[in-house]
Amino acid sequence: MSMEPIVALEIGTNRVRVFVAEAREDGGLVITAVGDAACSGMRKGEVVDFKSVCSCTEAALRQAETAAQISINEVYLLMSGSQIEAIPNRGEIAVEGEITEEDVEQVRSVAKEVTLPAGREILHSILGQYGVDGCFGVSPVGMTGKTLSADMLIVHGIASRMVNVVKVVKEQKLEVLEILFSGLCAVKAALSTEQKIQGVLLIDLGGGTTDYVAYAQSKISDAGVIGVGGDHVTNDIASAFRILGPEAEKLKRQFGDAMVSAAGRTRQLPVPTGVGEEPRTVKLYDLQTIVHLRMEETFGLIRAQLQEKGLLNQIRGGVVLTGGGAYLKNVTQLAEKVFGLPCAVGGPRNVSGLSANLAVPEYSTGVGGALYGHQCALNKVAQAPGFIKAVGRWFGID
Amino acid sequence: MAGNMGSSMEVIREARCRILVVGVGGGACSVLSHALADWPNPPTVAAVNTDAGALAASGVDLKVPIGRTIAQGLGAGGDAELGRLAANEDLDALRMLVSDHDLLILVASLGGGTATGAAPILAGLAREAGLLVLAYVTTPFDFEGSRRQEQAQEGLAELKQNADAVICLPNQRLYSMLSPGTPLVEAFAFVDRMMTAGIRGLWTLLARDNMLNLDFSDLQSLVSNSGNECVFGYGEGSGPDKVTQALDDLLEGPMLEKGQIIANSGAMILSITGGPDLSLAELEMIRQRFHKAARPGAHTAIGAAVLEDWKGRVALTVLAAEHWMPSTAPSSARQTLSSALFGHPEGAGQSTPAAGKRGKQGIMELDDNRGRFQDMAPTTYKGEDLDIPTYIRRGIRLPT
Repeated sequence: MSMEPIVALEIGTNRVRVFVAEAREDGGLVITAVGDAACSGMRKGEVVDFKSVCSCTEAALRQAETAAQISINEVYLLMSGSQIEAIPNRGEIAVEGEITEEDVEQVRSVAKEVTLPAGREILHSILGQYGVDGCFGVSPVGMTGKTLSADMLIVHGIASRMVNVVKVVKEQKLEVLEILFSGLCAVKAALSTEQKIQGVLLIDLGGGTTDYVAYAQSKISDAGVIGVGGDHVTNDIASAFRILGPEAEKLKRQFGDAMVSAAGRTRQLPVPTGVGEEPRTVKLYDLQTIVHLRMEETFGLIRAQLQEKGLLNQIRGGVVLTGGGAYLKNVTQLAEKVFGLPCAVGGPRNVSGLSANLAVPEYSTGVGGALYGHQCALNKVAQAPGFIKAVGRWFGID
Repeated sequence: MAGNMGSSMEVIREARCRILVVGVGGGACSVLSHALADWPNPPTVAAVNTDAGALAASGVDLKVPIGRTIAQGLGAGGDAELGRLAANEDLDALRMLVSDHDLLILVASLGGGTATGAAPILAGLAREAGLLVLAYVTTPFDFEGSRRQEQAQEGLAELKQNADAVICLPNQRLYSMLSPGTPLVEAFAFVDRMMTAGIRGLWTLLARDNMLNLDFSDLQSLVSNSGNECVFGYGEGSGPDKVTQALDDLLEGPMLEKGQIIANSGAMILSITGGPDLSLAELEMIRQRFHKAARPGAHTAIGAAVLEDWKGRVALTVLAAEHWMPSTAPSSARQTLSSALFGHPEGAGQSTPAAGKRGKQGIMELDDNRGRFQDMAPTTYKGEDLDIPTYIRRGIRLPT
């Protein structure tokens, strides 16, 4: 192997996951080890208990190191959180005569220049399309025109909140090679080229947050994070039935259902009770109602965002659900109802030799992170200086 | 989020629930007899009455006589107290009737003794058994006398406490639809037709594989936020202008007070029944007209059913909740919270056992229910704190 192993680290709200990958001779990628540890000290994708997040992260890293028999020194760090947003930006330059590679490079850097509110930092600049004299979706090199434009989607977040996650990694004496928005990583692993061309919405149902990325007209047209995740469902259940969080979590996993069924009205479920309390049951119907309302609302929020941006009717390929929340019963049925589009659960797919126990929806982001890192590394080798400029392209179709 | 019941037409998956239709009292039983006459594959329909003779003559298969000792099979003689006692005499039979069903559509012509006295009791029993209870009732014409009217209003108030929602069709509202020379028999036949249409409209949407289906959860969502009161409207049309006719009939007619009720309502369910010739353009026309008539932001769920024998005809059935508690208004978060805790704000005299029991079960500690997100900056959207459970912000009382 000529290249160092690629390590993607995802510090999620409920799990810390480490994916170790190695490049193969044919240019493909193979996942060689996974570290997966429970995480406490995170809420809604943000650090609330530094010490405890550190020890959870360490556990996951040690697990991966043992399995892969390597020592991890540098990682690609996945990031989410409700503070992450995306805005479209168009850069324009005047050109004379035939458009050259240099012109294209210049317009790209212009398009990346965007004034963000104080304290915000750019995570990704994703190239959408070029335009020559108002004609969009063209390959401009060699064309003749007066103005050249480039559309970028700028993904940005609040620096101070992201710093805390980075500090956790530094505490482990690790270098952060890149910070990647986890939603974009999930896209990398779970979507096919056909889906991207048709227009597709990916929703990553995480524990603390729900990330989404929308492809329309063959390009990433919107991305964002809703600060509501599986923990909210659990919290709603705990509140309604007055039980503890872990018990609510158990109830959700075993009986949770995104759709209300008539049969639920008569089915009773036992709930754990404290010492000396009488045994108690709750109605399945009530549980279904709680989960349904929360999930419907979350999907509805994403739908509203896309509608506001006029993207909803451009997503023809349907909705792909990924992340641990995709295990929720009937969640695809609910998404179909809310979005009026076909919906399926998706796991990581764009990696060779992925064993069945890795091809699960909750690993989409981590595997995507490794894929992303692999491409970063390839580009670094190919064109050592200024590799950053191509970052955006990797999410495109080409 | 506003799209949860969908302002646009949504293709909703089939929802099957076991529906039971019960008529209480003479008036309702005769409505159901008429309804059953040309009803293909009807749901379970039962008649509950104190009058053994009327019961025997009824075309309903499942007959439940009540108060055989107290009323001796002779009816309640317009006395609601007698109707109540009769129901209490046969509680077990009524419990048996409602068991193993999910939705009870209770039909009653309030004002009569059996209907007024027994209907609230049946509603209470059904709700205890876990059914969603929709009461579909009429109140008397003014010419039927003030005593009957008063009794009907008392029964209505009691029913509102025991049923999940009451759909009331005041006969007097229909009065203006009839010409002054209409014979009495025809006036009552007209009421029967309206009731029949409503029951069947609702049933059609919930029970069949329709082009556009409504879910049980849509109905539940409307009903549980309705403040226990829904308004029913019906319009139909035939021939080339069938849709315009039906829309005019519905929106200009007195049942919805010339569309005023649609304009006031926070949420509604619209059911369209048509023949195989019903076109997309026609559906769109209905949707647009409703969109215009409704207040901005109103939640509308639309279902459509195509029946073979409805060629050249269309019928529109509307269930609207005027007192729908909006869930998105940020200022109402506290209000709906308190109603979630203590039941309905206007439900003051909770004397009936069912209502009392529910009120108590809903009580929780008076924190703001942010639970594990207590100490965190709230996730807000348009002023709403998303960390608070959705069901609380929607004002839904749990456990049910």
